[in-house]
Amino acid sequence: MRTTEPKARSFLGNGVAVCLLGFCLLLAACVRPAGSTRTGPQASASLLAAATVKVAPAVAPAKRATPWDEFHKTVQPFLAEHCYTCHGDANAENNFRLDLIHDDASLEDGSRTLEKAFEKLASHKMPPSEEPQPLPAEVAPVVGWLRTYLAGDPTGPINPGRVTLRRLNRAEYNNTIRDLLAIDIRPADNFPVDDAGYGFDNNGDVLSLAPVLMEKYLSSAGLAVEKAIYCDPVVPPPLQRWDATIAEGTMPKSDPAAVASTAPPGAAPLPPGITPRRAMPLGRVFKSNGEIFADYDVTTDGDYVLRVRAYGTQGSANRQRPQVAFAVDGAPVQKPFTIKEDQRNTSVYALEKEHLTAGRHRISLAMLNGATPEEAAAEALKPAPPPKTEAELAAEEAAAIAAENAAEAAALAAATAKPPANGAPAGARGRAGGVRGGAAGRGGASGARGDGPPGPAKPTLGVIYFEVEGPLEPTLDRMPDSYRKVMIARPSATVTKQEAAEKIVRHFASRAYRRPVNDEELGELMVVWTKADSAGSPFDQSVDVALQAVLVSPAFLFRMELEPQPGEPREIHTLSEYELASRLSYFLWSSMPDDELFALAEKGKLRANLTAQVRRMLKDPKSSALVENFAGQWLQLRSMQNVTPDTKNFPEFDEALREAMTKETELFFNAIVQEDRSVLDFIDADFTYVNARLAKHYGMTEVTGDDFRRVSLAGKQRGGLLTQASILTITSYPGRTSPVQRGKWVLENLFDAAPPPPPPNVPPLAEGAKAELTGTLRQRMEQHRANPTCATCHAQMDGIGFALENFDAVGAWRTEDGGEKIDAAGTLPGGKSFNGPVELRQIIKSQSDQFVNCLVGKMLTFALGRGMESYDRRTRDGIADVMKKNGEKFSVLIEEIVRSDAFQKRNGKHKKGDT
Amino acid sequence: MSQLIMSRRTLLRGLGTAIALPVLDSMIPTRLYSAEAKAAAKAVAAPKRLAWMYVPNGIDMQNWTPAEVGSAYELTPTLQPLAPFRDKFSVVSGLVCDKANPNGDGPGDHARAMSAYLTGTQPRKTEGANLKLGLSADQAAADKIGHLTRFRSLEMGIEEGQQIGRCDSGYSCAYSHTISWRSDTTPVVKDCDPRSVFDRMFANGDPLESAEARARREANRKSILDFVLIDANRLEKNLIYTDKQKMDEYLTSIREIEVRLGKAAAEKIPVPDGAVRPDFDNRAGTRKLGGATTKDNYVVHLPLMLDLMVLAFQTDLTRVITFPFADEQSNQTYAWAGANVPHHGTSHHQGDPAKQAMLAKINSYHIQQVAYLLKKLDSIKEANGGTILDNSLIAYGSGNSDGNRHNHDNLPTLLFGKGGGTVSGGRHVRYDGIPITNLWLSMLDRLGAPVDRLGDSTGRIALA
Repeated sequence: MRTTEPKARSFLGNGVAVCLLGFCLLLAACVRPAGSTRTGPQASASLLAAATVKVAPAVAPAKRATPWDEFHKTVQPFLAEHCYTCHGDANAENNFRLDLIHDDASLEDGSRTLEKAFEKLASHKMPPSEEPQPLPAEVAPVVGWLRTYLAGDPTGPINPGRVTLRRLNRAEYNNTIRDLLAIDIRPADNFPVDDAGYGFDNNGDVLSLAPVLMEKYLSSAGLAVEKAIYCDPVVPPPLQRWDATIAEGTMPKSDPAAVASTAPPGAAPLPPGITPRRAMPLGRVFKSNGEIFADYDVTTDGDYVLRVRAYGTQGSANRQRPQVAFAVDGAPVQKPFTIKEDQRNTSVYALEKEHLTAGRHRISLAMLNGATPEEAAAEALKPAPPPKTEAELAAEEAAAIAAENAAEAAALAAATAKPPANGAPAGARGRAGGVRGGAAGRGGASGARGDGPPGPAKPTLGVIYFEVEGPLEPTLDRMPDSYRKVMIARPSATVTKQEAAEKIVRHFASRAYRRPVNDEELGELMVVWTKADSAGSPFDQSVDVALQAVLVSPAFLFRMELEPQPGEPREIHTLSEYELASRLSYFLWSSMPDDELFALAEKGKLRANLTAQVRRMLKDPKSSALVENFAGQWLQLRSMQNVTPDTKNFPEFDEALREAMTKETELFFNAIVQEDRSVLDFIDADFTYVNARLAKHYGMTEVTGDDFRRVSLAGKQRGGLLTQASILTITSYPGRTSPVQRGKWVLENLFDAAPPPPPPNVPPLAEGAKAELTGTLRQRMEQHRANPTCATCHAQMDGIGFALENFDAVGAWRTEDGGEKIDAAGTLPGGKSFNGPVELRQIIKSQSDQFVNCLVGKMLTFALGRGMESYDRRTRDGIADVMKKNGEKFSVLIEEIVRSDAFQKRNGKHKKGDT
Repeated sequence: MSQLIMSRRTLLRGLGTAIALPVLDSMIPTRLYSAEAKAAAKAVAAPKRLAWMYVPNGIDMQNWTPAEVGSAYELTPTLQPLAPFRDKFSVVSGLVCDKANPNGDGPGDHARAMSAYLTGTQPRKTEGANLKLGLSADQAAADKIGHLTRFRSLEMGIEEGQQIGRCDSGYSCAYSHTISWRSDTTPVVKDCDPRSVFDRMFANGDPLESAEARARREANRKSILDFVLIDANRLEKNLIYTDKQKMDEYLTSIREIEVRLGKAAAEKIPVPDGAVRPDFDNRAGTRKLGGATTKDNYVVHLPLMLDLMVLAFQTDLTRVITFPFADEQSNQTYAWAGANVPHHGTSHHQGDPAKQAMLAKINSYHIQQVAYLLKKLDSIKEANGGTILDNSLIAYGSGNSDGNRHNHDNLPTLLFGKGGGTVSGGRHVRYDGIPITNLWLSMLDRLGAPVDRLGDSTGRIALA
């Protein structure tokens, strides 16, 4: 062990203390065997007893006596008797010195040291078992005083600490861009990895901003705005269509059901995808000149398209085809056009776009070159042509239908047809029918084909429908969400460019900054807009530049908690409602607040509705961020991406299994959140989630398919996190299991009691033992533990790990390893023995207080984005207490964190290390 | 109303699909920015460069250190791949990184090794609150000569963030992930995505973009940067203590980018013939992160990064590069090198010959990669008749000596290149007990960027 002078400094939140003693105190836990009779349930019981000891008035912090006076009286004699032997001078074990506390100043500096000492004493890990043991009655007042002292004045305000300005980390940046712009482009996936502090990558102190990241922010801002606002409408313009048969006009109305013909029996089979065109509507038949019309209320000024679906016959005398013209309010628009198709090939004619002003307009359609009404009347008196024979008719029909189907197939293939809009019928096709009518040849609008007897001398016209579509200009309601969320205004006759831009920028910046943008900021952003505008950029492009500026502003990239009066920082003050909204949303969603949170903050009613909001937010799918970011780091589940099991030893491991393992744990965690289960289920739930791949891996046979389903584990070896393949794999080496890593994982993540790393320069075992390590992995490890330097920590870690030895390095069940039978029995320091994973879970669960305390600390660290300090003890204990009274429910954990001062307040007081 | 759909902003396109850069055998004219730089170039005929390459977890020293000192030494097994460059490098033994020792701070030799290596400073032990270290040698160089090139320095890497959440014994991950520190509170994050490095180096936009469109884009960019400077300065007034410090980081980054864009606008740097944007497939389906290196694509990314180092020096985009082969405590596995074992775990070999052999294989693989880099650097001739390697000084080593002992004396160190003819290689030298920062000072001297002190430096080392 090294015994150099203490040097490290750790900074305490109570303002001024510098801990001269701080260094890795955890090592202290391991250098000597832990108490051999006081761990396990017994120790927990004593811990609780210690926690509830009422500090006698004589030793409680009194008004006049300084803390040092009390310490000197109550604690120091105990330390001198039981601790100074090893921790009382410059040669102290692990440099952990308790003798340096000698007055009020050094007492304040020594909080961290005392914190560690408190933990060791309270859990009876110190003094070590081979040393004389103090009586419980001696320990209790010391532990009680330390608990009270470290927690601070229980009647005074809780120190909420101060969270350092945090930039968005990668997950938060991706999610915020997603929610701000309604696009999912995950730009931060290509940012450099965020460093982590205290186990999580949302720690403000550690999240730095190097130029390389700033470059990424700049280019990502451009990409995101581009993706959001340069987009096509996703909804086509409104369409109004009129059935020509019933439209008003000078022509007699027609029978909508009248059809021209039907397909003959025995026609050739149709190509796939083609609906037989059994009936052709006649539509409105113009035997002479005339018009039909409809009145239409135009809601918005703009460009509209007029269309007609029609057919016609050529005049037998003048060889002309019908000419048609649209008119609006009686005035002809654009040029007349000629209908070239006959009844079998009705076609749609569209005009160039036509500008219409808002208001009611009469849209009319007229035939210009037909017979006069008199000529038409005379025509009607002519004898009907001789009827065709059945054979002639059948041949004509077959030819026509074949041609028609071929044309339709071609049209389908080209896929140029506009999709039906607003549920309007796709066209004349498919209009019912089925009546074999004699319409063909009888109506004036047919008979253009073939060499039959001559038809009417002048052209005739049939109109199926006519329609108006528009306005063609994209309106907001037709645009994608991303556009509608951002481009909330456009310049118009009544809105200037400047006004529209300002409206957009104000709205956008207020959401991006997660609080209302102030006038000064808006003014600066509008300077950016003005520069782009005066350089001749079109409206969207000039707005684009201003929006990019928002996305690289520190007010967006950092989660600002501004000091109201930076000149005189207030010690403890409550966060604004907007700041609280951000704390909530980044905690539970790793993203910005949504509209509901903003609305409550604006009204100043968020704080009053916190619990309801937390419940709502946990139900929201966005709370999956908790799984990804909290569980991913707490459980180190993110490491699943990087494990490389040796495929020689574990040929069954592949990408599908890697994914399934990860998914199992994610679904499991999510179930505890969504069903608001007890957090103790993390230890020993009797259910999990598997798909066929994972079920096979687990030796379950009844599950099929790729989808995950919940399965009961009642009575099984598996249950809880510890036996999930993901955790078992990330704590293994590529080629074999590592009981050490598994044990370390449990201590670190479930009990917040990480053992220190191996001390440097452990002598080779063979030297001391004069023997090669031989035997099973377990036997070799037990030889290893013969080395006393290794023994203390490894007794604990290896013991836990051995209980899981029935699970191989990829988490599959096994009964032997390398031909040797697995021995999953073990004894923990303290004498608690167990055999296999089920009993291990029971032991862990019996120490549920420590687990809950650990989880509270981890969740609070994640929620706040700062490490736990000694003054957080009251907050942590308070939350743990409420949880214990409420069945350790997950929701209680979250709600109590959100309710805590640490979450809701901020301490502006200067602390050591501040610059 | 304005037209809604408009031409999209042009983006840098992928420039090719080949994986490796072809050997660049043509001499690329030296390209410089300012008159000052041009004058400086005339004096030395070719720019000098510095680079530091770092390997974590120490070295299997018995296969590393040559038995003899002087020029007649015999290459050890691990150093064999360097035989072709024997005259262009020296083995330096005996240097010390004392600030990586506990000095009262307890465990954490890995985090300290990486952070103290270029700074010579004891990192403050904290998981986050109040990070404190010191200026690193590369950043000291960049402070002096960074203005001559578009990038004052390039921080490249290969492995990022593979330790989830927790790093070494109460030290923030920033310490065990970063060798380059811009100030005592600002780690300079490394770029570990080969595509990203390439794009940043050659982000000149679309070659088909019109001059007018480019001018508009640059004007917009400038207007945005002007805005954020005002914005950040105003916001800073409402911040206190560490919050203010974070805003300073922001402002420093913005200013640096402004300068760089100014240089980029002044001169376009073409992609050298034959060089292409790195292209590769990450393991399909499982990685959510774009270009990040995973354990099994390390072997693909590493040579790509080395190619980019060559490219950066060749085009004189920067003269200062740092490149850690992995983070301290890296548990990268090296299956392709016959060592499918976690690096850190194996480095604690406890004298087990099998583990030591594995460690030697990992060491050897890294040295082979260095040889690949040297070959490229030595194949590109420059205006003064030397190669890039001749005009550079590149240090390679670790802040741990024996990974099992975590000792920080007798560090494994190699010094490549001839520093523009001021250094002759081909020797094994010993400087027992001398701070390694003394070597860094001497390197800075050769670059023409002398500084008085660096961390625990006590003087200079005679680089003959």
